[in-house]
Amino acid sequence: MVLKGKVAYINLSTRKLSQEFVPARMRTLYLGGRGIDMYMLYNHLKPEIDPLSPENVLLVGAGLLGGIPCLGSGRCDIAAKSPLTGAIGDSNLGGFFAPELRFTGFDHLVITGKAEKPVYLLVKNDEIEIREASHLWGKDTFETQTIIRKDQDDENVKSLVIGVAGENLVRFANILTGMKNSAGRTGMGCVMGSKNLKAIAARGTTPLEFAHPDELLEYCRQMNDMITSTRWSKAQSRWGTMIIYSNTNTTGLIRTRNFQLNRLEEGQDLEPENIDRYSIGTSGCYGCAVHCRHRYILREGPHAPLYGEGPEYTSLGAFGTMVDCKRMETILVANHLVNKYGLDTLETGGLIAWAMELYEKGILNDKITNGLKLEWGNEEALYELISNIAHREGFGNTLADGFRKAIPKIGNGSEYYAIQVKGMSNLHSDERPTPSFALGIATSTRGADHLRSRPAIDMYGLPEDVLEELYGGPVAPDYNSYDGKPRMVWWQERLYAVTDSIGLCKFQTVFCSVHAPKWKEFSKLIQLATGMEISEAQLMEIGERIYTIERLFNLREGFSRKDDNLPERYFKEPTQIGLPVARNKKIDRERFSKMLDEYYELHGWDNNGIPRTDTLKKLSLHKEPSNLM
Amino acid sequence: MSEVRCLNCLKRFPVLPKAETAICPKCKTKYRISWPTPNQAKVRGLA
Repeated sequence: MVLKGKVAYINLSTRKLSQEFVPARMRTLYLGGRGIDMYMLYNHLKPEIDPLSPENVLLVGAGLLGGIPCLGSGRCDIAAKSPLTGAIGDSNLGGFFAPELRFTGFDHLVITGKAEKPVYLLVKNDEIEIREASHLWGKDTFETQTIIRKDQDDENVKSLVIGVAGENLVRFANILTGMKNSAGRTGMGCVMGSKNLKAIAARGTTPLEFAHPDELLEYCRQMNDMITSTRWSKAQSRWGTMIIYSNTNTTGLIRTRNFQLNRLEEGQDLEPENIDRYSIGTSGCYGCAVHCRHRYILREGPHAPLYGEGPEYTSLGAFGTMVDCKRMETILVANHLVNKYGLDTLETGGLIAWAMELYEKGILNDKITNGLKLEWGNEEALYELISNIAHREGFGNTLADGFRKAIPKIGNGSEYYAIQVKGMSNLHSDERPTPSFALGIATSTRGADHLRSRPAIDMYGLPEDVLEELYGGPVAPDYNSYDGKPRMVWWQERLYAVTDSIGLCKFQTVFCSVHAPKWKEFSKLIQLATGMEISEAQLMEIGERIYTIERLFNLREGFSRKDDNLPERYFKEPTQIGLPVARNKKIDRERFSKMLDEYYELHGWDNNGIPRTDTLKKLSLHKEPSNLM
Repeated sequence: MSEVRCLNCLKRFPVLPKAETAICPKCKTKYRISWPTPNQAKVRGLA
């Protein structure tokens, strides 16, 4: 049965391994993937530990529906205490690793301790081996995967790996699988590096047994039709998430020159259509019919020949608009570099854009940057700084520690220019015209983030009755409005928490299309795959439980209402350009605070953002940590 | 006929097949249009 997945406990210090089945009660309370990872993180981690110490716990979790034939069911969740923020560390990646892990018989890995020398884990059909990895240390992410496959003489081995950035403990190092699928946010690759863990390789041949296989297959077919018929999915399948750029840049919703402007003028070369000049086709993750990433080749120029995959919308901003680079080729090179070194694209671009603004303002100078001329649009400086960050060389060493440590080190008012929340860089989106998005980045449990709660459909001006039916209460259709937006954020938080826990791609849910799958479809899929009867209302409660335990984790680490905030510039500096709907907009501090009150109330938290006792009881969280796993 | 949504006033309006530009009938914003598929128009940028 698909519910017979096991959890493995691996102590790299003692090399002790043990395993057990995931308790059925855990499935009904937390499903799998992110949900169970969050439960175990809250239970296993001692408060206030150093995230780079052997005491940090690294969790790898496949979703409850990982491996079913639809909806991008290859998602894998990675969690630990974040070395970047000190808050929840959690990141989610696609590709093929999570299904492969499930085929070995394991759904979750709990990794503690620190290996004496570099090692990698080999998970192979019910067996786990800690293997020596000195021959992999120093290799980039692509080489590492190739060598492991050769070592195993098996092209079907799937690996999660770190690059040199993770080895060098860059606090926003990512974990990569394939050519681009990465757990980028919150520095999970840094945690792997701190444990001397270079890779986790999986190879399994145990088929998943579903409760109702024939009905599941037919329902998955219906789901695929449902997804691929949406306008969003059709466009995404053609140009990937880059498709978002045309709308956001045209409107004036993109951070440009860090935060100075909200549209990249003369940014036509970054339009998604231009990937066609370099693309040799598209590719997809396990179980997905959308195929949203391009495979591209640079055949000419100083960086040729170069093969890469993507880029995502995030990289268009990170290495385009935010640093004022206007060429698609720059994006493709930088995207390749961060994947090769194992860096989070968003954090890297956010920090470099910040540094460029500090350089312009004279807060940084050539002496501090070791001669690097951090001028807007200087693509060679961009490439060099990416490399310096990954290798912790020169000024890159300062940025490699992220905003929280770099701000006091640089000083001189540099904090004002940092576009971050809880120590994590924001996407290149400019949320000043969209209060729902602004609330989402302020309250996200892992720091400024668009993937924890973003109600992207707020941009569509959907009819009020449609929004009210979807969100269960009144929501203003105007995206400039503050009315009802906390409800949107709250609803999306719970949907995404459940999506990450069943292991599906949130781009194929109500992210950009109101017609995409949500609670009802999830409930049916769970029933057909596992036999578990979980109603739509119960799924919403599970989402609430997961989000609340993340909140409890952050509260325990010292975070509070004061951290659910936005950078000052959101309140002080209005947007300058763009269409009238996006121009001359800033966040009203008082109305933002009222949104926060309303958002807490919807969650059943008090005015300080602390879950009330009755809320904890309702969610069966009042006895946590209970150490059931 | 394919439709696009005006990015300024959010009104949906039809676009002629293979058209390279289109004007929102409500707020008069003029857009460049591209075609992810032969039957699906999308806004590419301001015209």
